Amino acid sequence: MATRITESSLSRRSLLKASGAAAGLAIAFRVPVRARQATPEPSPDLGVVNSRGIDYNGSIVFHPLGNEVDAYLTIGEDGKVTLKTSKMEFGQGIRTGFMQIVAEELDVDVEDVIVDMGQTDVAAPEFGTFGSLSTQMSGPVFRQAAATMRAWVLELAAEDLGDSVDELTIESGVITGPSGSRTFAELASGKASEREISQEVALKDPADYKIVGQPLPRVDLAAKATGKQVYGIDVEVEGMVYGKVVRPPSLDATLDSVDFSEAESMPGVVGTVHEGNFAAIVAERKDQVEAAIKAVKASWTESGSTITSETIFDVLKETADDGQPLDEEGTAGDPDAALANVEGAETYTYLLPYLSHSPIEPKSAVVDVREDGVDVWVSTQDPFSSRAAVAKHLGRDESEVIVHGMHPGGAFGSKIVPQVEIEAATISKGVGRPVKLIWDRIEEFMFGQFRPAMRIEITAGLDENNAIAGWRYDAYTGGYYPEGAKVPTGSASDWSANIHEIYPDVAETKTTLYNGVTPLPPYFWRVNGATSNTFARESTIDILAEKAGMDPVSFRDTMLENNPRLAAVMHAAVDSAGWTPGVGSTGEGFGLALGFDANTYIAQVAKVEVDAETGELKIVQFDVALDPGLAVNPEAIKHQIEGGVVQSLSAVLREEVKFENGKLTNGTFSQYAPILMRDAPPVINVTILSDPTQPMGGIGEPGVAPVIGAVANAVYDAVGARMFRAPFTPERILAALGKNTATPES
Amino acid sequence: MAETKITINGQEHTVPVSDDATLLWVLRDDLKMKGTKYGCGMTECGACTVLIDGKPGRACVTPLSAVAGKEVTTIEGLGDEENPHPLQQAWIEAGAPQCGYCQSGQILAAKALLDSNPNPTDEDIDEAMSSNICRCGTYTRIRQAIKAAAGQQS
Repeated sequence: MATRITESSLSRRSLLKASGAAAGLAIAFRVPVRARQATPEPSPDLGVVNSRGIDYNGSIVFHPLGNEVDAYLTIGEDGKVTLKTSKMEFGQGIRTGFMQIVAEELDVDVEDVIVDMGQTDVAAPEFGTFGSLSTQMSGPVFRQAAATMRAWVLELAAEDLGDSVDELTIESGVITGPSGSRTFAELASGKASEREISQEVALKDPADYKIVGQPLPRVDLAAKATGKQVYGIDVEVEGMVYGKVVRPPSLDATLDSVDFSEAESMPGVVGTVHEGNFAAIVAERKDQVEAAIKAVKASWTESGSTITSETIFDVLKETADDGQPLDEEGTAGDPDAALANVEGAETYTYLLPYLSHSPIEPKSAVVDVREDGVDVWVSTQDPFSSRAAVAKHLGRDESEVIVHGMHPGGAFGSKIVPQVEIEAATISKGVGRPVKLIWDRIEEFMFGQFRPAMRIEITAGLDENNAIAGWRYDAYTGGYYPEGAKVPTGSASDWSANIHEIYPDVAETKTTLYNGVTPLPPYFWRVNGATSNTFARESTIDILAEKAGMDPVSFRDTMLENNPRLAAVMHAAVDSAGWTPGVGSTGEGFGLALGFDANTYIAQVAKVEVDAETGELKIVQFDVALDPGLAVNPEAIKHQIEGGVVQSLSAVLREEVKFENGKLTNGTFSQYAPILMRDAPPVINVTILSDPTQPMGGIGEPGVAPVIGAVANAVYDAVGARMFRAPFTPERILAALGKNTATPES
Repeated sequence: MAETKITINGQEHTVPVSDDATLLWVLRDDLKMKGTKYGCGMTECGACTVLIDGKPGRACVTPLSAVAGKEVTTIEGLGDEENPHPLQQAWIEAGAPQCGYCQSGQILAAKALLDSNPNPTDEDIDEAMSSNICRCGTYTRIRQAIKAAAGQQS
């Protein structure tokens, strides 16, 4: 694919706007979209945008039929089937999965389905691409739209051929009956018709599936192995210049003054922008803007934050609000009373640090602000949030802004909050030219968002029958009340906090999420809350199992009678792993953890080696079993699970954002040190227990959450070290073993 | 106006910059070879890996003067979607890429390894590949692809 060049925005829009009901056949459908009633006004102060971002979370609503929000599935005159969606592909495989879903229901070849992604001028504002929701939420809608199209083309062919619909069959886009055959191309030719999606049309029986459920290779592999995949950072438009933002030395600093005088005279510099807290310089070439930014003199007033990555866990508790109960209706009990007379009831405290997303492609955008419209090319998980943010920031109507959502080079939750596109838009407006803005690695580490730190306290004990007598769960975090937000913006930290999601029968529980101060702006990181909560829950379950004198599997079995799908994946994972635990000091250990997220049941077993002398932890093997309901593409699922395991292992073994005085102290790749090939497990076995009669579950996140619990339990099995703080560095493992943990410099 | 000559994938180019310009941005912006990626600009991630006289180098900190008279190979010099290099083919068959952003650098690092060591052990692979970061977590598939490609070469 060639680099996109800006066309006249108006002609492009008039060309594409009509594409829904252009030549051919179109099924109009509605997708689950986000309500924006909870949207805070973006601050006019760009400094706040830089460090805090703007949150566009809201609730999911299904627009009723007749709403103007339309998306289309079309058959063109060439017989090709096109689906327009604002979901984004970034290697998770949804493009291929959507192709399979449409091809299956419509009986066309997968190659004849085109999935057009991320163009806000032709797609509907679906829920953004996060939360493992794409296949789960949009998949069923696309399936119904394809079934409606199938019924329609059958009807057209029957009319044309003079046969009845039940006499017709479809194969590879050709409809055949007693009187002859018609291709999709023939049926679509010369037409410009549109129909509404019908919920009445029957779907294909999953037992007859030939395409869905097949492990097809992802369609994006060849482009990615040959350097041809186009990412946001690769976009070039005519007349484009490079921008660079003047950054503060620490978060939440305010800009007192900026002096461009020396920088302005440097080679290639074409302009500067200064608006409130925001300052930027622009040059013709990348090298030139890099040189020029070094010559900009700015003075800042820093916030003087005294919170550090060590004190944060006390701060979270000290600044906690009154708490938000997370128990479902009718399940809250009184664990304090239930545990009052339980011998051996204890409180276990788990600490998890801030994490960085750090995709290898940093935030990147090209924005062209013109009088006749605004074009935005950006690596994003959510093109419509980008559109809303840019429009608001420029004071333009959303219809004047077209976002060309580009394939992100990694995202993990970092490309949802609009930041780089707002900055690039501000600069483009200031200099009157299209501007490309690429964050450098230091900016990427420091000025985006972070998986929030959490402190989780579980108080639990066993009754005389070795059942859990009470379970009090207090989670402290600073999450999701970003500065400037007038209302809470959703609390992902509560995901998987409630023990009933996993073990439905535990009585006398009380689950509370407390929000406190966060010095770093928090946001979703993969499946952030679930990772933290799974660490605490699954570690505590293992502690209780040992107290009960039972092995971790049998103990969980006693609590999974009413969660059979989870019990099934647990046994599948344990079987796959060759589960032979034996608590002690062998140095080799197995650990189990369970999870439920995005309607997918998952169990993971870590096999580890721990050197009790050095504290070194090595992951030897990982075994995963999951039940995602209908599995659209088992190959893509397997790859997503493997990736989720490895990225999560990186967090478990190494990752921790360190900060003091409002500055990151390990904000480079070499300091933050994500895991490398030598640290990755040589073997990851994935078992899929697919039930095609169940709804399609999400995949990206379920694989991430249980990893830390499985590794924590495996470390304990290997050397008897119970881990309460992540990451599990050699120093912390030695400390858990009661060994000298003096750091080299002390 | 300044001009510098460089040889990329066996072809000589004249670019309108002085020889202190950074190879990465000359490749991407002047020669429109965008397969070489920017990741950190400080040699720490490997996304910009190219081969300089067959050895892996980091284009993000390499001035053109450092490649004068040398042969630079980028991902575009290996193969394309119609005619992929055996390593690229192995990458496709192993389904290695997820987001794909680091993979040009990974493939060139693997090429340098196999060119000097056609039958690497697991340790050799870990050693040669452990300066290229993949955040999607595709390491096990990359290892598998390198082994498959090595098998074909031997």
